[in-house]
Amino acid sequence: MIWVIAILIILFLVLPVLIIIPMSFSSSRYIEFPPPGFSAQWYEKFFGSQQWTDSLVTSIQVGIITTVIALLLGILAAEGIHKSDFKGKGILTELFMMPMLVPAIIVGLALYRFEAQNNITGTFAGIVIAHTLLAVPFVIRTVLASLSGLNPNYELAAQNLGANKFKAFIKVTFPIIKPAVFSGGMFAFATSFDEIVVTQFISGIRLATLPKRMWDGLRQQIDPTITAIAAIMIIGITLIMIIANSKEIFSRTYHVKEEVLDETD
Amino acid sequence: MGANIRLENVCKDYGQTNVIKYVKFEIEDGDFLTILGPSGAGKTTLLKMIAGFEDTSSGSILINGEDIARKPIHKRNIGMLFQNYALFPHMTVNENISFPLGIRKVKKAEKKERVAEMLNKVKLGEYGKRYPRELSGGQQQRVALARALVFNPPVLLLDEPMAALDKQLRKHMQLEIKEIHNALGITTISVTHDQEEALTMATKVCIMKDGMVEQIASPVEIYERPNSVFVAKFIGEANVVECPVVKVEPSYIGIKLYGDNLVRLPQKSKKYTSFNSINVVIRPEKVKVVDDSFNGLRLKAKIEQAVYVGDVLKLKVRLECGKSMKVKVFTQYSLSLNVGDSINLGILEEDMVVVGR
Repeated sequence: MIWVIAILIILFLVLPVLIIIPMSFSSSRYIEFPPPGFSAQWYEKFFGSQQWTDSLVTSIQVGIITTVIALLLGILAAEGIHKSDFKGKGILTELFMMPMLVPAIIVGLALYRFEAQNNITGTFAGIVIAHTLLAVPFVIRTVLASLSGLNPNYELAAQNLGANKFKAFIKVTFPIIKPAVFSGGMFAFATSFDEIVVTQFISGIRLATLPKRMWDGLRQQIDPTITAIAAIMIIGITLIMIIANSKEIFSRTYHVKEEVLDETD
Repeated sequence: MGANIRLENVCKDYGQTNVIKYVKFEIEDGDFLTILGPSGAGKTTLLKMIAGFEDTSSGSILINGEDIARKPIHKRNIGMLFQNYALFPHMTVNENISFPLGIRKVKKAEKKERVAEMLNKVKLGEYGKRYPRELSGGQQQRVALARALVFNPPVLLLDEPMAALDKQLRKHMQLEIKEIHNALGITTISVTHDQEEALTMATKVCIMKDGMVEQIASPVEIYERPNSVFVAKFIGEANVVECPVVKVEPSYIGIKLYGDNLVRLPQKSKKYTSFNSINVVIRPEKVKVVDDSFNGLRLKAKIEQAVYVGDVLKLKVRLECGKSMKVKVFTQYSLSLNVGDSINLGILEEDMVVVGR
């Protein structure tokens, strides 16, 4: 019985998404389901159009650079929060999570004002800054969780064996928390790759990410090309998540096994 | 290749609380010092201060004359065996052991040779390619020991080294660590709350209480000549009796022990000049079951409790003065003793130890 319910729930969650895939191979000129016949016309149209492929490339570029910056900032922030001990540490940690919790439309509005004042709306840097802001909390959260589960003696042992703090972090702590860094990075990339609300405010006509271009395409006319793009994105994101999760499962063994058994005296 | 370690008035304060108070002692090249004390005594804190994990509020820690109290951890060159070993989980046994050599930029060939040599020393020659999680607790400890020793540090610190091992393995590893200590002559400081471990392994024992050193001496001296009631009770079992002083002479003092028994004790290093009462420690195994020919203090007693623990019989007796006393007698002489029996006990004056406080 429980299995039936579970399967029904999964279908309920996944089916509307998966329906896009057969629709993207439709021979119809409109978005309709079930498709009257099969063809790859929308894929041809997508890959044949400079506008579409440009925005795909832009999305990937923005995603990668956002991920790199978000990882750098996020790891530093997480390590900083983890190592320090001061009043208001909890509040600061929550503040770091704000971009994730505040409604995207508010973040978008605020960023628009900020970027317009600095003349970076519609630029590559402008989009990267906005996406980084949204992606960093994901990195902080995953990395912080991993750091706080880590036996503090690893880093002390590395230092005791002659490594300075930086080397101890690079050679010992980082490899151990790598799975968390990896999944944090994946979240960061996914956040950037499917971001639409904030991007609406700050991207221009000439430079648009894929979701933004899709939105524009939908607004002007219902263009079935977006079903092809949607299918590509779903498969892409799913693959990324599968890789991220398998990596994490693969090397989770350290954390669970090592308990922090450090006696205060 | 060991070192002389000297602590001078080492203190550690957390705000208003002083967890370590003016600790000073000196140990020689090749010594094995065990720091023993109840939890909260500050023994682990002291060890962490020597390693550099806790900073020293005031005082100096001198290794071969050089004060390291303010040096960063990685420049101290001290080997340390962590309580749960802290082996790096993402590295193999070989990589773990060669880690300190890599940091010190030792050449590849030499590194390989030293790692192999160390692995053989801890009897794990075949295990170099394994990961720590694939090893048993005892094996992990040996790897950690190899890693702590491979860079030839002059000092080795052990933080509750046996806490994570079962009793059988514990005995075995104690002897093994002692063997390695003897072979390398490395000055070692160990922290434990297992008194048997302390007596087995150490050349010197330091008893701590409330952040202060109570006594630091050889295991024999700590046991036979404790300098305080606390030490006497902490190491082994002890009968502690408060005795009024009734006579003070330059060469001896006269005390009343267990009722009105007059005993003369020689004046030793500490000279007693007042008639304040003193504490006398008598180890249970020094009390003998005797007959009238015994030449020492004789006490009449009644057995209230007798516990047979194999080699010895532990008795709780009630003396004529009303006080109770713990007595330990070897079973081979005492199988006929039963609860309710009246016996004669004898104590030699040399087995009565005067302690402070």
